[in-house]
Amino acid sequence: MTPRHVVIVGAGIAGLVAALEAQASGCTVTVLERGYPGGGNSGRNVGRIRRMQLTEELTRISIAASDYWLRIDTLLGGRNPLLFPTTYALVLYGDDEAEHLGALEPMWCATGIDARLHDSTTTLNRVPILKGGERPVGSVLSSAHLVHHDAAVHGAYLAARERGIDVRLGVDVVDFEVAGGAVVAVETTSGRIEADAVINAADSHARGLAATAGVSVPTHPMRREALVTHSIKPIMDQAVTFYRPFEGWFNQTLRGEIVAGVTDPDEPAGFNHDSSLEFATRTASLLARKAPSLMGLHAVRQWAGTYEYTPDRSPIVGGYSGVEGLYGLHGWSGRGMLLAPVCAALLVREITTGTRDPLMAPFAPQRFDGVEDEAGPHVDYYGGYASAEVSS
Amino acid sequence: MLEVPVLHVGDPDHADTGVMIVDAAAGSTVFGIYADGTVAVTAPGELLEIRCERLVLATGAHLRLPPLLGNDLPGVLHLDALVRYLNQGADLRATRVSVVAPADRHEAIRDALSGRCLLVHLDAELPERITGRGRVQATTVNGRTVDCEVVALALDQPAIELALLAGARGVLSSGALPVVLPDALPDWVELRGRAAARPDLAGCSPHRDAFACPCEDVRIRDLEAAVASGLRDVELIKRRTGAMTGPCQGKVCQGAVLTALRDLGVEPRPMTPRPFARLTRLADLACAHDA
Repeated sequence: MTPRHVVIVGAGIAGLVAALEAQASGCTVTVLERGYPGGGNSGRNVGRIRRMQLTEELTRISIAASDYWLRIDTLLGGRNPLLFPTTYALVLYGDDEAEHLGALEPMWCATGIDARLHDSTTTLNRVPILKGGERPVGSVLSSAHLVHHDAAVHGAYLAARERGIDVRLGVDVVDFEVAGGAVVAVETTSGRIEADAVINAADSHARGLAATAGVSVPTHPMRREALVTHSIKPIMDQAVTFYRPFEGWFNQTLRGEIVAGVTDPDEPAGFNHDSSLEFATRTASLLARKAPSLMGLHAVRQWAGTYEYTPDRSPIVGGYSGVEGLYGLHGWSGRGMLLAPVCAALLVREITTGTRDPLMAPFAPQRFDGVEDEAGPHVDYYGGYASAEVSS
Repeated sequence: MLEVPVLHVGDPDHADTGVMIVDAAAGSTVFGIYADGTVAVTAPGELLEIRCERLVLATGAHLRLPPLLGNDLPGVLHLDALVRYLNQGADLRATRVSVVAPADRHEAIRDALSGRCLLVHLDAELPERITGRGRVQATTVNGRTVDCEVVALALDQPAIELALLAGARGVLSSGALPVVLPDALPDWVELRGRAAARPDLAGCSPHRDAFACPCEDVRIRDLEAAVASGLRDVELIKRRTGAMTGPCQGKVCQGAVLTALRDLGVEPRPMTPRPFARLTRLADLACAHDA
């Protein structure tokens, strides 16, 4: 049964793609946004679109997600999301890392992606920005894309407006009205809106929103900071990530800036958008070790966003237990730009047709029913979801 | 962490005696003030983290670029920059200079430039436009052409970026050529000198082809196009056009961009202040961490 009216909370990439897909499926759609479109984590990321993941489940959904991105311009009314090709380079500094990742090659082959483990010399030849730095033991290289998140979000927002979707900015949800176990309306700061289905696409605020309806979801925000340099001519076309001595990353944007970040292994859980000096010096110091040729660049800005972590670092996509018609579309755990559009499309298909795509099997909210909710040290991202796969 | 009772940033002429002074002209620069109140300074060979009970900012002013056609041409600069060039030995004795400055400064400017460049025009009003191919060649004043190679503008946008990082709220002033001024200055922060001024500058009718944000090549018509496409929020337009996201991070252009947006019906809400207040070399940040 197709719901007549779908209310979506959050005008980030997840909410806006869900809105466009729902409208294309024949629903009337209202989008509620407390700030501005993309003002949350959709505007605070580096838009890495890659198929290579460390588990087969994530790899398979990431393949679908990448394919979805490659044809998203139609949904955006022909607007260009500035998707451009890159090589995702997971650079390894420990022999144990190479051993663990080498064991994943058969899975990558079986899923048809081109991720391969390379030795030290090949790594330096393929990722020459690393020359002069600490010598890597190897890398996993795979073809990937970077998307300009603002272009994508603005494209989706403008397409939504063009198609007459009711996008309300500066509006917050106050309460949900539930009758007979099913959501029937949303109380907002701009009045009551009747709804046959409500999608919670509020990412860092999704937990609080779900709680308003009496639904408990075990997600925790964790600050992720970045710094950006002035623009220079193209000097690298790889998106680099490393995990030793702790997680860090850098790449060059289409505008020519280098964006970079190194995480704090002791970053506490909690919502925090402040920039820190410790981050700036930590990041510069690790870049000096990994890619010393960048040291002459000047930083122009720092910013901060959040990763909204779930206990298994996979998103929450599907109907919540307890309240019929209330759906989760959040908990991206650092993969929102990649996964949100395809998950939004598959969720809308589920809501309108009743058929759940097998790709989404691992993401049902019910997997956390009755699970103890611990903030825990989620920051070891790589270890967090690599370990299960590696040990099996 | 260095703890001092008073930290003075900028022009030492405005400093009280016996206080610690951080002055870019002497090689040390404040690049950030963080949420915990830490003032971060790059100095030769080191990075200093300073806590202070009082912060005095005598950081001067940036150029408030007026929305004139030709405002991006090489040769358009702040009068301060012209004086710096001269003081560093530039020989401009054969260079024709047109100056725009408040009337009460005209006499001092005549004296300061006398014999050092050819002052061909000195006016309290802005010209109608600046013309030239690849560089300034003339201005147009009341329909008359004034040939010149330099247009020096004494139009101050007070340098308040550190006050904003310390917690003040930016607001767009009223007047013919609005600037961003601090409101709700925290009680431990004081502005002095031109950073404390509230300039009421002569304006001009904005030209669509004038640059609002020179770092990112954003003209007033680009802002118009963004608004016309349906974006009605400063943050959206900033991200869409790149305005205020270049090396100056809005320090210079924010007044011009917000004024243009205000005129287009968009609420002129200043952008979130974040470090770096000055371009900061990664090597300087890195060496600090190792030390």
